Amino acid sequence: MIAAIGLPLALLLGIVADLVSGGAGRALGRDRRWWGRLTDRWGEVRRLWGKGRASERASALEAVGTAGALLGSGIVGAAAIGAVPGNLPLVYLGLLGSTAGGYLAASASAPEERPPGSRLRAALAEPAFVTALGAAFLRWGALDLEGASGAQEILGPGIVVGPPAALAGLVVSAVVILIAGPLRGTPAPADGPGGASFLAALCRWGAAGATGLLVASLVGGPVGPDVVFAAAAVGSVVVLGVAEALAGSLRGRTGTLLLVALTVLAAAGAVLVASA
Amino acid sequence: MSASVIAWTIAIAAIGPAAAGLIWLGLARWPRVARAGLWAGILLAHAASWAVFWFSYRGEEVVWRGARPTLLGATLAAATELGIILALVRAGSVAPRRLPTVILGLTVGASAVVYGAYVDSLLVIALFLPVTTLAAAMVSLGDPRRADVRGLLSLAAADAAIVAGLSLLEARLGTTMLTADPGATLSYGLILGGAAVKAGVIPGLGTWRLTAAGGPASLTTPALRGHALILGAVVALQVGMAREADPAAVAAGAALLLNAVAAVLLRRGPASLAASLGAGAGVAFLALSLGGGVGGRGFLALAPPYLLAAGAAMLLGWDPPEDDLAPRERDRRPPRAVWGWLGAPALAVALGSLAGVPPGGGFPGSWLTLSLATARGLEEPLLLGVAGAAAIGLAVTFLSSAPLSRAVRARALPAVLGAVAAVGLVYAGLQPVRLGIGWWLRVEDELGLPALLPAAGAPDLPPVGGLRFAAVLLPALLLVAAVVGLGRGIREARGPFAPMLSARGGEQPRFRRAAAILERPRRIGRRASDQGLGFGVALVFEVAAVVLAARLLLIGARSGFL
Repeated sequence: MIAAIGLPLALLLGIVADLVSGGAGRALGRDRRWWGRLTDRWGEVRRLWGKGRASERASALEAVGTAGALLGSGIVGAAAIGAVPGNLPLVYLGLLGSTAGGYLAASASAPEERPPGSRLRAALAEPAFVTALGAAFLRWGALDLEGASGAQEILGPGIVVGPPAALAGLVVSAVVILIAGPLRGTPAPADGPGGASFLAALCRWGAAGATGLLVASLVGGPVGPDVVFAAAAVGSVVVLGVAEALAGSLRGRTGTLLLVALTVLAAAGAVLVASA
Repeated sequence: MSASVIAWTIAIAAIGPAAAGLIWLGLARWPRVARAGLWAGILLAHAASWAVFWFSYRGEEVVWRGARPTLLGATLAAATELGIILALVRAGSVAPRRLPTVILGLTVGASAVVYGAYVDSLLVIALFLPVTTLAAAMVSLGDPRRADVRGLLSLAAADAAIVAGLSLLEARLGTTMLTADPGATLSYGLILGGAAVKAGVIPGLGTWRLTAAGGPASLTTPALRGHALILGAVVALQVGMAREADPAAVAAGAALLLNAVAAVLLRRGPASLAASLGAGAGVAFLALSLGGGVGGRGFLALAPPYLLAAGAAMLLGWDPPEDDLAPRERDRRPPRAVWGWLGAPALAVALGSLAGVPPGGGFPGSWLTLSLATARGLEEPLLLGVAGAAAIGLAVTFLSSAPLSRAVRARALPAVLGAVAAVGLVYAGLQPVRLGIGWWLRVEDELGLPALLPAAGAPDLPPVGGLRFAAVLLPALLLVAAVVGLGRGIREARGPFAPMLSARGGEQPRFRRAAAILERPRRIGRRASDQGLGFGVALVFEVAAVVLAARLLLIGARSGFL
């Protein structure tokens, strides 16, 4: 039954990432109400509950998409904390479910895609994400999380264990995962119905938190009620939140350059890991 | 069960669909009677095909003349027929001038697939091979725009390649009966390559092209896909004994990546659907190519859910041009909201299944296949690239096809059938071992495939019990239910398909330059098509296939088979 903790933990960490993203957005001068990431959700719930709620309801597609997205996030969260036996394909398919389920839900509420090109950006970030995820697993010479956790139990957390090439490769890969993660994430539908916006937020939190937990299990293990693992999880979502705020402000050619840079970094991380 | 009952059951399963089509044609003057006769015949034949499956599963002697179905063949035949029946449901909305060809194409194609799956003779397999292509051609010829024709050329070439492969196999084996021969590399390549085109794995070719055209001919694609998967299983598992074929695995990975590129660049809904279906089939072919006990099991876990998901996707996602719809269909009121509440999520589950995301039916098989590719990739780095390409292919095609769900305009029957299929897919995705272990073990034993030993530490589907999955699923369902409950209902939300590359993005200078480069070969192709060149070449390929099949027929006659 510990597997049931996976999703709530991911959601909690996802909320932290969202708040950090809001704070970073404020620091960049974009978003004055950094706490709005949370309070706006309460407003959506009130709109859903209040008068005229028929237009604020969630649609069937949003409900199914969100359920699928949260299942994917829950699987990855449970695998990251060792409650479910997980390997690289399982966590990748889970993260794919959490991302794509969110896009499925978002597709229902907008008359056209908002913001335009978000799915294209997610698709272009995918090669970097896949490469970095594979490299992070390969650093431990194993493709399952139990192997990574077992190695860290003997050697220590991945973020401090050498050799230098492997350590650098792991750090680079982890950073790429945390930057590419938000780029793949579902954007919030602007001015959408309350139910749709709230479900979209759940998808985003779940995906962000699951990604953070996964990175923590690869760099801050071994998994368990351990201060180092907890700090790694929180640190991961902080980096993820900052990355989301920065990436969100990049458009056009700069955004394209970022995607290219991520792919090159991911490849570099894989080469470093392979050469160790 | 007595031998005569089994024989009659096989006969009804094999001949029934074609007979149902002929009954419909004969009674066409009385539409309601014809429709009743068609559905009575097809459902009887379908029940018979599942009875054949059940007899095989129980280990009975299942024989009727030259038909000796294996458990795998019987299962894939029944699953393919299910997809064809789902397409037949939508066929009722086709314009009257095209309806006869669609009905006949589907029913005759179904018989060809079922009988071809039941026999163990290279000769009969080759004879029935072109039938599904000819059925698709017959439907395409009814289109004055000839929009569907472009897929036929590559389908004909695929048929020629497959029959050539079967001929080479016969020459090696010295017999027209199917037997194991893992060393038949050239035959393996020809048949598997042709089957991949017929399954719609390769963008722009064969069944992929037919599906992307979106017209009535795309309704015949379930038969083509099923036929291709059965052929792939025969050559890779029965003849090849689940041999490892790294070049085929690399080709499958490349095809998945191509599907991702096509999904990004193409802006029409049918093209996005074709890419999703192609990616799903691509993973099945990847499992066959990786081979061994795990690859074989990965294919077994993938194939039936793929056929069901493909059928449901065509049932709910097929969106033909207005000209191809019957007038009564065009003039009907929009469907009620409640059918959209069923149909849209059902299509989403089917698309998710094709992409291998949980909890879709394709999730266990995709997980196993990618696990095998990554595990072998530790020794052969090229396979890591293949696994990565497959992952990107699945992800991008699903992202591209997500908006298809909101464009669903399903009426009562398709919505209900789609929802039932979706429930089946979710069950297959959440409880694969409980659902499939008995079947997998029997098929592997019957075909003599390598056994999966837990002690060997190879990738396998962990027997994750219902409790652990429920523990992960329950919080997700409770949260969503709480939001729906707060609003006390569901909102109707429909909209058109939104491509990944917006119109504005397509107008950017770099894309305009790429489009200009592609325009010249497209113009040449259109001119050739207008002059009937495509038809001519397709005819040449089909004649070649028939000639090679006739050669096998002669050999069979000389050996006393006839």
